[in-house]
Amino acid sequence: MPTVASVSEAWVLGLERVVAEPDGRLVHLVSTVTDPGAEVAPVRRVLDTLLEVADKQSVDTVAETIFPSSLYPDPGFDWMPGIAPEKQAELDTAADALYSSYCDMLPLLLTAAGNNRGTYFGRMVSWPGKVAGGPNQLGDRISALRGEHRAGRQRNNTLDIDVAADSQEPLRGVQIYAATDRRRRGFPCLTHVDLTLHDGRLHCLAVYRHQFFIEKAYGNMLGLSAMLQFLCQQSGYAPGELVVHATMADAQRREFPGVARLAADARAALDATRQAGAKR
Amino acid sequence: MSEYPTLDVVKSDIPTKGAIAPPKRKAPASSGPATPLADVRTHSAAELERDLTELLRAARPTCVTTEVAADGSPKVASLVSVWLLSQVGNAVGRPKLVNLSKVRREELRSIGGVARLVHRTLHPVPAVKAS
Repeated sequence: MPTVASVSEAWVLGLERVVAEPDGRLVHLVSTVTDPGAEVAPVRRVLDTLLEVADKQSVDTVAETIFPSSLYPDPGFDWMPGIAPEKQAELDTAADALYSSYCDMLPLLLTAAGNNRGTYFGRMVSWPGKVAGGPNQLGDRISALRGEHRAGRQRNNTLDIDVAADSQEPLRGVQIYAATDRRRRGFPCLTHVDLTLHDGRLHCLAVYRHQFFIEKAYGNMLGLSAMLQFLCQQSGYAPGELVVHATMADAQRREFPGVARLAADARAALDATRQAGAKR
Repeated sequence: MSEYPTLDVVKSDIPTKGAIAPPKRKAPASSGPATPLADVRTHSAAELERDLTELLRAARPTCVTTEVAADGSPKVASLVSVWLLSQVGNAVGRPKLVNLSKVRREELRSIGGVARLVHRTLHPVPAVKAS
């Protein structure tokens, strides 16, 4: 797909492409967003309206399954090499508050439908994500990135794709999927998150083995954007591109027979925003 | 590079949801209950709504929005509702206070919804036996 600035555009373009497939499914849909977290509000409203009518999770709720922004007491400034110890402590306290708030909730969160095998964020901060006290992958990545930044490095490809997936070695991508997992459907659809530091910017690639394009794709991209912004704030690097690779993108025609209408409405909302911007 | 005419959008198109760290406060001087959840077992649904709002204002001030849900109470993110439930669960010694898979989605969209859910859970109505 073309590289675009916002999550909203990436979702509309991907949706149009998937909807155009005879069976509503497409292999290897790759979306690239250059300004992760940027959105076009009217596009999100179109989707949220449909999700509410269908009694599905809102975009925000899906996004918070990847990164629970509402639990993060954002200090409002970035880490940097040589930062004052009290400011670093403030950032660390905020991150710890996020991790501990989430881990406190894990017993309850695991009672939700589909969560009995863990949650994405649980796997990121306490692998394998069912109880508190497991390896904190995000915390480890922040420590590693701060070390790189202190050393003045602007490139790092050791935060690389983790194929073995059961290893606990440091400096790998964020592990979501266990190699011992024999499930063919359901959680986890997000199997891997790769982080690459290049020219002082932190880039993120996420791989989904089966992505529901109506219920999940938009919120997924938003949650990944929030996770990337968190890592950048905590390490002092600038956010780079967000790339999402859906090895199977699914228009969910059975559950949403009006998906073509949704694509048309989302496109109209996007074009109207574009025209309004051009008139300014 | 892409030739697609992408928008010059900014993140401020959508208000940020990340909570701003609450100001550092001194411990309250009053001799009231140590936690808003101290009397959670005996409170009515309306009282619980006040307790939960107070708890949220103290712990996560930016999560209390001015937006109002259909039931007239403040709207909250679903995850914040789950956090409130977990706080009540910890206060009463039941970390799994409810089974989320059996909770209706709209109950997690407002503080009032969470309060009614908590009240119903802590005060179950006994089933009427057929004679």
